[in-house]
Amino acid sequence: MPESLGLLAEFDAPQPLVEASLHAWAMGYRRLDAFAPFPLEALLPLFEPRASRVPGIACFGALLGVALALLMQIGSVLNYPLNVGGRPLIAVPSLMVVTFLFAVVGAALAAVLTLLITSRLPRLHHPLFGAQAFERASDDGFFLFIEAADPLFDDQVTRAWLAERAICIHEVQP
Amino acid sequence: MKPEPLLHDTGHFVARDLSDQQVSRQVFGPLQQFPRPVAWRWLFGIGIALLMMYLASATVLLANGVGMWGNNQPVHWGFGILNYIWWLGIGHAGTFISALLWLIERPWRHSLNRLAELMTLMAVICAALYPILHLGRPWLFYWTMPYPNEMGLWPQFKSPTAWDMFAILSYLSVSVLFLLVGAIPDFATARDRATGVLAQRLYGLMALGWRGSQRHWALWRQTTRVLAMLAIPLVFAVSSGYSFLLTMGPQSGWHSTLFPPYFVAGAVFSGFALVALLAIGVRWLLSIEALITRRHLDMLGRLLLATGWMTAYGYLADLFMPFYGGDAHEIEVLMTRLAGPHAWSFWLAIVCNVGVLQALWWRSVRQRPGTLAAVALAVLVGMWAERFMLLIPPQTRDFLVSAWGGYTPTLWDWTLFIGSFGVFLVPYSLFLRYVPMVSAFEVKQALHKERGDA
Repeated sequence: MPESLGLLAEFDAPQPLVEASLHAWAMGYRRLDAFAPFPLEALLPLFEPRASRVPGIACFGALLGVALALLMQIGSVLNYPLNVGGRPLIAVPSLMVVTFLFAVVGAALAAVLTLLITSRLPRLHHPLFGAQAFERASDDGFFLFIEAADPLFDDQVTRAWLAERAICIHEVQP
Repeated sequence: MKPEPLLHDTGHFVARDLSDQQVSRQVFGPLQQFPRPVAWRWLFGIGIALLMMYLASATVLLANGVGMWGNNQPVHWGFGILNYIWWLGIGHAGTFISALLWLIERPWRHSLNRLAELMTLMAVICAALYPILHLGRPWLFYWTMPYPNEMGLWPQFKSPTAWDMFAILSYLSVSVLFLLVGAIPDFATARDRATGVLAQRLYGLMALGWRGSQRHWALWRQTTRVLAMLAIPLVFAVSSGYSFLLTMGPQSGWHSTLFPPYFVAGAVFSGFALVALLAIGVRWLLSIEALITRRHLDMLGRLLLATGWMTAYGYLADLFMPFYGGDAHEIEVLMTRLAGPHAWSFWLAIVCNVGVLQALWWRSVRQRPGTLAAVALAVLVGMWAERFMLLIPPQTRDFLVSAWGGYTPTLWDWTLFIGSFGVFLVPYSLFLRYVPMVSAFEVKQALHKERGDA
């Protein structure tokens, strides 16, 4: 029998999952993850560090958009100068609309790309999908997964600790 | 049948004790077993008929040129621009209502955001097709985009027509990102509830492998917040952007400094009207009266009334300004709007957008689907008349009397406009069938939050 990837504990409500996750975190488990059909606000602080980079990267995307828009607009008038009544070639106020739009699109694309890359999505399959009852994680199931790779993980101890809290425990096969 | 739900005194306007399973059944049930197949077939059939009409009108237009339309000297901007502005305005409300209410954390938003965002998507596409068809040589539309070409030519970036292309594309792409990111978790639920292999695979692809990890949820929330914050200024920028199209022209009657906010208010107003109409249609077609309740309709009615008054302020200011400025030609144009050959459009706008709208002061009108739908329909007609009144009469009254002229839309103008509802309806009715029309996971979250168990 192949080595299991970890233990998946099933809960019937969000509150026990939140308590178990916070408790496990406090005990020192780090390679754990909670699964729920919606974000659990009490757990967000645990996972916020990677998420809090999104606004910063979005700002960077906006700056990239601004740079690209200015390069395109100023470059095109320098490349093909049009003298309209002696007005300045690089008329900054009239370039602002496109620059603003590029900034917004740049920020939006950067944010969504950060979401996808940081969460390693899209992916076609994940071992967790093979676990029993896991399809309910997107519907009305609440799950706590503790990886076998966690230094604190011990099949007997962790299983016993989870069994005190969860309604049932599934093993996740690779 | 279940009786019509009563009004619920909760933040999300839905019954307090609705379970996660019940929400899922309401939202994802129709994807497997559509509750009103006959009505849907009628809707889809009408959509197809209108779409055929659109395609026929577009074919005639492409074969014969823009001369098929009624615009000519001196009215160059006829139905092409009028319907573009009308559709685009409608498109602004969807993203606006969804993003603004997300940021100010109104839990009742979650029942309405998906249908509003899908409306935005289709309305913007209906709008964007108009300028392309108006080009005369639509197959060269990509000339408005910057691309390296052997002629060494670039678009004129100082012109509002170039801004317009960028505005539509930016708005469309940010709206699509907002819609797709917001729908990933719901596609995951649809995937996990689907019974057929094909449905599982297709929803699975749309869900991008989402598995509800809290790490992903933390990222998702940050991303949605960023997108919502970007969407709101974009709505203001794009709808004031097309008021610049008018402002940059020489015609009197298009130069009020009120135009940008006036256009934003009008856009959101007409969009809320269509959101209300769609909400009434969707809740009936999918039998989800428990998720889109009468209190949602009541709230949409209030929003409609509020934005309607903002638009009415625009009418008042526009009536006052020419006399305050005292320019003879501005007054002439205003009098043409009020009493010229197209005066019907001004008075129709006033009757619908200011007169009929006041019915919404009564709670019973706002909460009864039939009456709210009637007012919303009147507002849509009124807003179309308003766009007509703003756009057409000033062009018929040039500075020199010898250059005055009239305007009559042709049959092909009308068929293309009526057909554009098919461009909207056909994809929208497919969405009804295959896309979760309510953001189920956000409704579940709001329910748990209200009960205090999450």
